[in-house]
Amino acid sequence: MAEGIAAPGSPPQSQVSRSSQDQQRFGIAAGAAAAGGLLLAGLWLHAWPRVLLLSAAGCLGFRAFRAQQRGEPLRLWAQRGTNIESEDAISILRTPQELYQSWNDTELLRQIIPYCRGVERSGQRMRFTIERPVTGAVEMESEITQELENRLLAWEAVPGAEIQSAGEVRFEPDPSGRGSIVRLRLATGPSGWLRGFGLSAKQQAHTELRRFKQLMEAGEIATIQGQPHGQRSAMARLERLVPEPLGSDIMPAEYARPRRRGPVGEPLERERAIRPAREAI
Amino acid sequence: MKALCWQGKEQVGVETVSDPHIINPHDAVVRITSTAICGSDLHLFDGYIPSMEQGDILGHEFMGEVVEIGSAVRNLAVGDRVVVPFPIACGHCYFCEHELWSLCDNTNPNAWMAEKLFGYSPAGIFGYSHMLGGYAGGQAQYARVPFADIGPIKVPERLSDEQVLFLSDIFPTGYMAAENCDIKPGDTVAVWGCGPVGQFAIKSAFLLGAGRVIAIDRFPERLRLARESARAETINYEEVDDVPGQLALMTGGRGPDACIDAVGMEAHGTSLLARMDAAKQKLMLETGRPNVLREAIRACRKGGVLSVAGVYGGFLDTIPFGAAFNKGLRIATGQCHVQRYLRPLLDRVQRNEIDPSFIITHRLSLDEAPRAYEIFRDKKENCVKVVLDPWAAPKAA
Repeated sequence: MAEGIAAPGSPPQSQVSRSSQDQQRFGIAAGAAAAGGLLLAGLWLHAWPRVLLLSAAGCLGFRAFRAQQRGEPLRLWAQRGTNIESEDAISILRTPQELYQSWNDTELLRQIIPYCRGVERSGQRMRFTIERPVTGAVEMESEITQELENRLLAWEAVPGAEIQSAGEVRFEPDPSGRGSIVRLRLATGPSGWLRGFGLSAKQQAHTELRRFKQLMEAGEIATIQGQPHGQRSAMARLERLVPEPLGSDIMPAEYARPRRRGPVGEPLERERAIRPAREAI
Repeated sequence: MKALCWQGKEQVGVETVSDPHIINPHDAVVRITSTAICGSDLHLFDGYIPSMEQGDILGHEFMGEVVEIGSAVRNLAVGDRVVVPFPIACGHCYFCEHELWSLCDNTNPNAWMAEKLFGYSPAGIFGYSHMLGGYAGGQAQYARVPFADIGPIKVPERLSDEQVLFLSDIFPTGYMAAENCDIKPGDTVAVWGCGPVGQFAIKSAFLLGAGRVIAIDRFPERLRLARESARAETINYEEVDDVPGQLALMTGGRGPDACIDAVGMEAHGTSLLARMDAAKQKLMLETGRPNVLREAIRACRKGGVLSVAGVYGGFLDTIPFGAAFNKGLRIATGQCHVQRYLRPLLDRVQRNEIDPSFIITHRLSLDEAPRAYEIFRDKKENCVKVVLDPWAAPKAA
C-alpha cells in the first residue's frame, strides 16, 4: 500500500533517538523481570491466586516479547487515540469497474456492512445507521476524502463524530486475469469496535470483503439465519441473543448475466471478457 | 415437521421443529421423500467433528420434491423431483467454474471458522457442523436448499428413489475416489473399507478399467458384498498379520498401483500404532485415528496414487510422510465435487450399468433413526446402508 490512510489522531512518526532506544530496552527488560517475578510468586502460591498471577505473568511476558520483536516501547495498555488498523484483501471474479460501481451503490453497500440498516449519500458525505447487536443503533457520518473512478475510494469520519474511523478500498485488476483484487483498510480508535460495529477492525474488514464477494459472485449473501433447528442448549441460546448479520435481500442489478461454465482447464468466457477491460485501465 | 437433531455426543433424537422457508433468492424448499445415513454422519454422532451444536439437524444425503422456489431460481419448478448434492455451491466463483464444487468460495456463512483451522474455507455442507456452514440437514421431512439453481438435478420418474438417492453423496464420492486413481487398463487398486463408499469405489474402479480390485475390511458381510456384488478380491485384516505385506504378496511384490482410503478418521486396526491412536483420541490428543492412511501409504507401489475419500477433520499423528515422499506417491484428496458427476452417473444408472440400490440393507422410518445410527455405527444386524422414509409411520416394535 503506497500511502497510509489519514487515520484520526494517529501520533506523528518521528525519528527514534538513541536515548529513547535505551529507555525502550530498559522498559522491556523491567517488564520481563516483573513477569518473571509474577511467575515465581504464582508458582509459590496455590489455587486462585496462582491462576491469577500466572495469567498476569503470561500477559506481561507476551507484551514484553512482542514489544521486543517489534522494536516498540512496552505499553501495558493501548494509548488514548491509538488507532487499530487492519488491511485485508479478497479476489472477486468481476471487473474493477463493476466492483467500483457496486460499492458506490448505497443499497448494496448496506448489505455488505454487517448490521447496517441504512446508507445515505449526499455529495461527499455518507451517513450509516448501524444496528449494533448489544448496544443498539448508532449513526456514523463520514466524508469521502479521495475518489478515483474504478480504482479507489477513501473516507474518514467527520470531525466530532461519535465513532472515529477511517477507511480505504482499492479495486485492482488481478494480475492472473481472474477478475479483481479488492483491498480494504479500516482504522478505528481503540474503543471503535465496542462503540461501532461490535467487531474489531480486522473482523470488520474481513467480513465486509467476504460479503461483498458473495454478493458480486453468487448474487446473494449466504446465511442460515431463520432456518429450523431443534432444542438448543442454554449456552447456545445465550450466544444467540447476539444475532448474526443477515443475508442479502437485493441482488446487484447487473447480476442477470448468463450462467458461464467452461470446461476444466480452458480459459473461461468471463476471464476472456475481463482481460481487455484490464488493459484499458 | 419432524427432523433428526444432534443432541450431544452419541445422542440424536427426532424432534418437532419449524418448517423451513425461503430465505435467500436462490433457495428452494424440498419435501424429502428419501434420505440416508452416511458413514461420515457417524463422525458427527461420535463427536469427532468440532463446532456441532445441540439442535443441529443432521443429514446430507436426500432427495425429494420441490415445493417452493425463491425469486431467482429459474431452472426448477414446484413439483420437480430432484436429488440434492451434499456440497452447496454458488456456481460462479473460481472454484465452481473449474468444477471444484466442494471448494466453493461463497456458500459457507461461517467461513471464518474454517479459515482458522484450514487456512481457507471449503463449501458449506448440509448438516455437517457450523464450521462447514451450519446448514440444517436432510434427515427431516423438508429441507431448505440454498443455491437450488446450481446443485439439484431433476431425475426421471421411471427411476425409483433408491436407484438415484445415492447420487447425492456416496456414489459420486466412491466414483471420484476411483477417478482420482488415474486408472490405466489392467491396474490393481486396493480399497480400504467396504462400507457404502468403498463398495462404490470398487465398482467405479472396475467401470474405469481396473483389472483387479482388492478390498480390505473385517466384517464378513461387507467383504462378501465386495466379492459377490462388486467381484473384488478381499482381505480380512483381522486374519492377516500385516495388510501391506499381504498386498505385496498378492501383487507379486510390486504393490497396488493405487490405494483408496474409504475409511477416514475413525479407522480400526490391530497394530500397535492403531491402539495408540485409540488411546490418544480418548485423551483428546488427536482428532483422528489414521491407521488406514498409514497402511495405504506403506502399501502403495512406487510412483502410485493415494486417493483419500474418507473424511478427516483435524490433526493426525505419525503419518509416514517419508514413505510417501521417497516413493513419489501422488496424493488426491477432498470432499467429492458431486455436481461434476451427477449427470454422467445418472446416465450410467439410466443405461443400467449400475444399480446403486445394491448396498441398502435397512429401510426404516425417520422415527427409527436414533436406533439406526447405533446399529450402523456398531455394524449390528449386518447393517451396511440405512435409507429413511421421513413420512412412514414408525413400525410397532
